[in-house]
Amino acid sequence: MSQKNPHITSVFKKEHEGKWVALSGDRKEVIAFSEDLGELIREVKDSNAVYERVLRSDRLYAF
Amino acid sequence: MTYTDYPYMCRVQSDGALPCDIPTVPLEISFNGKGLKTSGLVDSGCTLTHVNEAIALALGLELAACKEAPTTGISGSAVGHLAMASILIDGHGEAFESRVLLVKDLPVAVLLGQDNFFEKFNVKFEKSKGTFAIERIS
Repeated sequence: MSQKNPHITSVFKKEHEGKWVALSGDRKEVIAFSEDLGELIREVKDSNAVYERVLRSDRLYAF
Repeated sequence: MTYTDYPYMCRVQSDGALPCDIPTVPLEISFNGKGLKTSGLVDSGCTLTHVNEAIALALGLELAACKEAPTTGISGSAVGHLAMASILIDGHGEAFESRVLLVKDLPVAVLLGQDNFFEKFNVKFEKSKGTFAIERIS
C-alpha cells in the first residue's frame, strides 16, 4: 500500500525561512515560529505539533 | 514490505521558481525517551545520520556527555557530538535505534544518512515522476 506525506510547501511563508516552525498535527497550519526551537516548544505546548526547520528561498543547498 | 511513495517537497525561490527537489519523510526522533515530531531529508551522500543540535538540546540531552566528532560538507567542516537516537518513520513499523551526529546550524532538522537509515530502508528516487519511495527492510 502506498501513502504520501502531507504537502507542506504552501504553509511556509517568507517570514518562516531559516527558522523553526511549529505546525498542527496534520501539517496544514502554522501555529508559531521562532529562531529558538526550545522557546518554540515551550510556547506551543502541544504534544501533537510538528516542528520543521524551513529552508531559505535565496539559497542553493548541497548536503 | 512494500514501497511507500512520497512527493518531493517544493520550495518557493526568490525568483519565483518552484523547484520540488527535497526528499523528506515525516518522523519522530527521540533522545532518552523524549520525542519530537519533525521530518528527515533522505540523503544518500550523508555517511552518518545528522541531527540539528537544537533538537537534542530541546529534548534535554547533555552535549557535554557526548563524544565529539568532526563532519565535513561542501561548505566546510564542523565538530558535532555523537549520540544515540530512536527514530520512528511514520507508517514503517517500530522505531529503530541509530547513532547520530548532532550538528549546530544544520539547515534542516534531520539528514537521514547511510548509517543507518539506508541500512534499514531501500530507497528509490524517481525524480521524473516527482516522487521517491522507501521500503523498510530490517
